[in-house]
Amino acid sequence: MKVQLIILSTFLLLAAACKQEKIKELALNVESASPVIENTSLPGADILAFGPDNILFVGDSKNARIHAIETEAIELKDAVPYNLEGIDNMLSEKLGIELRDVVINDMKIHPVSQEAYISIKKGHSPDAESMIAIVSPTTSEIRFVEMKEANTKTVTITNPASADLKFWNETPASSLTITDIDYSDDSIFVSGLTNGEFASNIRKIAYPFDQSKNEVNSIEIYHAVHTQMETRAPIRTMLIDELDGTPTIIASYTCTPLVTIPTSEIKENANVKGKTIAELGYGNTPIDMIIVQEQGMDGSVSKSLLVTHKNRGGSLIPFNSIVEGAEGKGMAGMQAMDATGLDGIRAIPTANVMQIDVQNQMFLTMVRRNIESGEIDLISEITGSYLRLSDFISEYDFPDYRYSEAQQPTKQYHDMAKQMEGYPELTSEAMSRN
Amino acid sequence: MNFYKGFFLILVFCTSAACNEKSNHPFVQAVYPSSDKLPDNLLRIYIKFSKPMKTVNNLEKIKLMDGEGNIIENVFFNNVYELWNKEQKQLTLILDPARVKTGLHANMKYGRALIPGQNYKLIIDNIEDVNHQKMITAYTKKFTVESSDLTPPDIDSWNLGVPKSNTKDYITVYFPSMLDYFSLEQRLVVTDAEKNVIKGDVSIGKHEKSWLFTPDSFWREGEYFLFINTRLEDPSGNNLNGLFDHKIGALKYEKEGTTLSIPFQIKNNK
Repeated sequence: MKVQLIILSTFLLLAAACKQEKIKELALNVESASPVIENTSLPGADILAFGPDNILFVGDSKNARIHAIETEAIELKDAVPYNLEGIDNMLSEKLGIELRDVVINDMKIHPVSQEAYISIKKGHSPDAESMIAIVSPTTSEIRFVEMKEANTKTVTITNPASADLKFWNETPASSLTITDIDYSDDSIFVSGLTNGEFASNIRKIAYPFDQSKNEVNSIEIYHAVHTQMETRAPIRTMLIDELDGTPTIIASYTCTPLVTIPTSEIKENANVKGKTIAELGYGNTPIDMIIVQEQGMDGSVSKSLLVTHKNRGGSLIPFNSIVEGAEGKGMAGMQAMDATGLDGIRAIPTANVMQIDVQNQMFLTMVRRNIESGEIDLISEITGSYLRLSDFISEYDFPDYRYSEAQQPTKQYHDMAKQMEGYPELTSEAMSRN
Repeated sequence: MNFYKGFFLILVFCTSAACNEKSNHPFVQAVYPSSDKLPDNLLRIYIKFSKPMKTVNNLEKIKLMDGEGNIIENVFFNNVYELWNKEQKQLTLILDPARVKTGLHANMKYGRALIPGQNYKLIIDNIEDVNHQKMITAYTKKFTVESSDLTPPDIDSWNLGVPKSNTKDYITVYFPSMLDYFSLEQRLVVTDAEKNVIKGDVSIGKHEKSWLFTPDSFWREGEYFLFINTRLEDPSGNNLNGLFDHKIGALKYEKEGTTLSIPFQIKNNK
């Protein structure tokens, strides 16, 4: 009888465990069967880029496609910072999915509304639904990009043309992981990495997309490195800016050099040679590149290129140095070990920054992993400061600390940063101290 | 007695059916290159999994260990977006090209990660599938490193094993040294004399040293072609156009992606 009881209780426990699993499964099914908002699903929302007229380009690596979506935006003129801790938690609640199933792919700031557009995936499976969340800096509310036929145009990235034979179907046989998209002068430039070959294609696609033509130019880039060797090397991240009046792709490669290529050289079937102007150091995986305009105390503005990296601090490069580098011969011949090729490169603390973009003249906005809480935050930093004051505890934070006369600019900066980071109660004025 | 039997059956049913999803853990099916002798300028490794896997934060779970048990750091190119195939069952690892390529700082300062004559272990563990299930058994690939592969693939060194007409036997293309598994899957096609692509199944031979193609329909007597895209690579990134790391102007063809062909005759089966 004792044995029977043990078996019976084991069975009941197991049955209860199974039932619990079932209920959980059912609950999840019900939730995923009724999406929170209609028409927000987009297959493969991976890489984002804004173009002219509120157009959002969305790179879909899995299906080798680029969508151009017309967004609706109300201009925001004020500089309102983001201070959203746990944006991943907010998304998980909003979508009714587990936190571990929120996958964040990319983030870009809308140039007109200053809203953060975040491409996300609901879960990890190959056919998981993906969508683009929009987060407003003024309300901190989350909504989603609505997909309508009327506001969306799509272009498929075809295989590089084969001379006399069509080997495969329209989409590339080896899967292309789109690594970056940039708009310039009626075209988008798409870079990617393939899993099959170590190819170095950059695709130039005319925009508006011409569906009847749907032509995709593909080029090969060779980049000369030291000792007169060259290799095929895919671009990891890039941006397009004018160097002395010439629209130029500034690109960072998988193998660390920084390279410039005038966009006019990107023509169908052209063999383009990129000019290596700097090496950003070993162990870098560049994530993002942005142009930063820092305003000095005297009102002057200095322009720099900021490259963030996955495993180390970012590289801040004076734009003048890039112009000079691009005008020069490029790096040639082996240089000293720590030489980088350009003057004035500064290391910037951007650890744990997953995505970064320019929000407005005052702020840089980033998706950053908080290593203490494990959460992902959507936060802004004052351009030029490259830190958030609230990340640190220093002597300034003691209630009895007094700023000296010479420290007044520091005090002003601290008070501004405290207000901006959501701690107005900690400013000198609020705490009634000098 | 029936009481026990009944409960036993229910228990088995419950644990094996409803709850068994938990024990269905993912595992590594294969790693390419499949050979246990690899060149020191190896550029790429593929890992095939039994199930669709999560596609983020996996590189830290893949370790390369030398013969003395030391983990070698900074071996793999840590891309922001990992290189998974569409089904999320195959991961491509790139050995950091900055260390593989000559003349770059990383290569000059650290050298290549792989040293000829040394033994290594590639250990893959704890990677999760899309349902958050971890691998429960680590996969270890042992290999010995040999000198650099500095011979680009060359179609003149290939041999063909050609079947007879009125059969569906496979044609075999033999290579003197290993080629890239994934590149082989997609860079060769068979056509008829009019360059119509013949449909069929491709399989890759031992150590990626042969390519086998079985047609869906019978071979006919006459001329066929094997077409090869010059992007076809070996595991060191050398392709039919030349070496991965080459002197300026040393490439064979002006454009990447040029198509080459080898004609062959299917003869009567009598």
